[in-house]
Amino acid sequence: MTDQETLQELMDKADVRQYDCYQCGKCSGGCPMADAMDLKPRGVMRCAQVGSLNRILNSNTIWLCTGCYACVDRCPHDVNVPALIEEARYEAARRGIWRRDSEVLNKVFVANLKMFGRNHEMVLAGLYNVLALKPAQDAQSVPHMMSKKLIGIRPHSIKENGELAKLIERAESWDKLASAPQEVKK
Amino acid sequence: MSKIGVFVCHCGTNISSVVDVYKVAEAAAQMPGVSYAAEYKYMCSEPGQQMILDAIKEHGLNRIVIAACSPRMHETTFRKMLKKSKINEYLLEIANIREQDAWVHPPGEEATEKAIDLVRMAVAKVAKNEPLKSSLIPITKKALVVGGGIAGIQAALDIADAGHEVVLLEREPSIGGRMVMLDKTFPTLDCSACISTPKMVDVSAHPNIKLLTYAEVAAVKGYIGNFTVTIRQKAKYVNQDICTGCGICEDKCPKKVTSEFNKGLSDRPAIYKLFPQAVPAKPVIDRETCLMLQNGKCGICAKVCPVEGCIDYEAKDVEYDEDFGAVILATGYKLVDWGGMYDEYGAGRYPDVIDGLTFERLVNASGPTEGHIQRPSDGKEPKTVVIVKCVGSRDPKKGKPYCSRACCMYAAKHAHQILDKIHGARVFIFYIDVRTPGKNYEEFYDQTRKDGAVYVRGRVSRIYSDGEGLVCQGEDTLLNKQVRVKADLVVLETAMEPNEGAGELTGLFGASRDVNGWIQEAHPKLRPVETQVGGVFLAGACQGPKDIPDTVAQASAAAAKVIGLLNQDEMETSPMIAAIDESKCSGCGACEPICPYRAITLETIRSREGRFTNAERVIAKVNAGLCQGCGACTVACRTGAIDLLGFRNAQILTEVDALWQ
Repeated sequence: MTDQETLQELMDKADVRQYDCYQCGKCSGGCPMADAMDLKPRGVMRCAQVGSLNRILNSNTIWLCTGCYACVDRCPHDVNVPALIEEARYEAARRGIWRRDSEVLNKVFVANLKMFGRNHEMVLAGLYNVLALKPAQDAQSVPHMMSKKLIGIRPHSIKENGELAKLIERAESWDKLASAPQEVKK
Repeated sequence: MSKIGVFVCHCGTNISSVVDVYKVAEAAAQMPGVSYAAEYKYMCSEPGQQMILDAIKEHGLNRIVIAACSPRMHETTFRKMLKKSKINEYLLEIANIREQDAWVHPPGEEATEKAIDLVRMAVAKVAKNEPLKSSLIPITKKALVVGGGIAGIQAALDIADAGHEVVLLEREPSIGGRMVMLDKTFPTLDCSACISTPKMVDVSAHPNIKLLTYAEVAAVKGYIGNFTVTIRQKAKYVNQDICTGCGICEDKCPKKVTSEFNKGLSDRPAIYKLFPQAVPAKPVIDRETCLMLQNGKCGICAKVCPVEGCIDYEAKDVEYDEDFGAVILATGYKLVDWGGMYDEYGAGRYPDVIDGLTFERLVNASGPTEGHIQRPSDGKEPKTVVIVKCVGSRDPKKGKPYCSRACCMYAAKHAHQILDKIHGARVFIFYIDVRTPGKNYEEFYDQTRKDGAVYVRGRVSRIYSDGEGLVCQGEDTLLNKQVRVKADLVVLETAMEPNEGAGELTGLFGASRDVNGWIQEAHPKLRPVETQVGGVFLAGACQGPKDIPDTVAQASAAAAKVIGLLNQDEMETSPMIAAIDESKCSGCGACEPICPYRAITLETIRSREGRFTNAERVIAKVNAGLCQGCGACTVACRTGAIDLLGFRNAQILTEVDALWQ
């Protein structure tokens, strides 16, 4: 399959049409992650319009999008950029295009869930910073966040903690990213 | 005995390059009833027409088929030509072998065969055609213009100047419309009031114009040339004949309400003129807010009024009928209620986020701030102003799908005015595209950028308050960066939409509206100022977003159409209308609600029914003036009593039969 065909398939799955976007930029304007993205939501649509699938797959955007849907809500043509980004994420994974920091975060996050049953921010941030070789990242925010009780030392666990870990392990036993995500989708 | 002549047109090479026109003419000559067939390069040309007329004389033809382009193109041409011969102009059929054949098929046998089929159908039908005569209807030489904005004013003046009587009807207490609310007009920056108020005065002084303000259309009857309009004159409670317009009552009125004219930036009394230069320059009492009319306590205006008996709290609304020959709808536009649409822009929570018309009042020398730009929240002069374009326009999801056309230009004008009036001001204009197709428009945009306005390409995504002031957040799509601009004042250039009540009014006249509620023109290119209803015309922004030059041009165009109509004493109507066979009509009434032109009415007649010599029964009647010959009723008729003259069911069946011969 050519890149062009793959892109079209992703677009079809996401129910996004190139011609719907007239590049007004209202999506990128309100995107909470835009400052950190190398390709902003409007850029993703532009790449889709001119057929540069590789730029989308190699961008950090697809790993940074939080799926908050502010862009879709504000888009005058109701273009579902997060859905396209999600499809692109699967395609990148299929092609083995991982970014080191995203991969690290992914692993730390899953390990965290297995351990506590829910995310423990201190562990997540700590492990991530060490493994991603960015030990001091966001350190300046720690006192503020601790004082507001946004993060804490003590982990919060869930009832029957082992159950979630079992679920995750079962999911991991599937052929990695080959078929499972597509079935899960829709 | 029909002697049919068939004339096949080459249309240059338009038809002949695809269809073998010689073969078509040969085949036509063999068809039943055809006594002559010929082909020619251009049938519609002078020699082409002469050729047909000569053939009619020479061969004694009594029916004509022309195989050429669409009847929409030249049917009228050939009908006019037939008036020079002895043949009735409705004994003519056009076989459309251009649009329906040559233009849509590749050259070859099959295209020629189809052309022959089309000609055969036309020949079969023309043999069944009957001579029709158009009837004459009288014309009332008076025009009604609904809406006293600049479109209505211009149209009324043009018609009146041509010597016809005009009634200009306006529902507000003064004419002037949106244009008098504006401060300056692009691209020349001439003062809007200074160029529109003289026209308003002209209207009130013109001997041929009767000005009705504070009045509405209540009902409409009739058809082109003969409308009867019921006008509802709302009670003004001030005797307009004796009021001197001194204004003492307005000063003394204790009740203050928000001024609609100043877009809520100031108050007005309950007895008020819309604005100081209002025409007529006499106040009315707003009965919804007047203390005397609501509670029966006050009466101060009557006490201070120096003219005895001028103020009459007992006045009542009056309804009366007036006859007109033609109507112009000029109901204009309003701005969309952006607050209800855009939560991300604060949904109206921030007083310093205003729309363009509010800004016009803010910057207007006769406005509430006397032209000093002061932001509504604290009256401070804004130093940084953000202008957001396309708010509600070009937004099929939350707003309107169309471009509102004037915003790009008045955004540039607003920027210019801010930079001109506020020393050291900074203006940021967020845009998606800058559209300046108009005389001197691009030059004006250039000048605005030279003045120092910063154009940022991107639609503003969010307007919020960070505690100190407003922040506009969007993407500079040319920098590929998110930007935040701290603004003291935000002007949203909002979309235009049809005016309040335009829908009901259009309905009263039977005209139709498009998906967005704008009044539908009869043809987007060739009949831009007519509605589908004969004798009802349109002008200005009621047809779609328009700026002032286009509005005025369209108003004059509509006036020209009306003058053309009123210059006739009587007019011909198309005879191709519905005809009812009274003997078959059962009076079921199925046709009545289906008629889009309200041309069908049910009437009771007395006739002989079997042994009853004077039986009473109901039948449908067609009003020849209203009927446009659409044929909807013929389909609805259960007994087959209705036929469309010129397109009788039997005639169409003959055509179908001919196709399978």
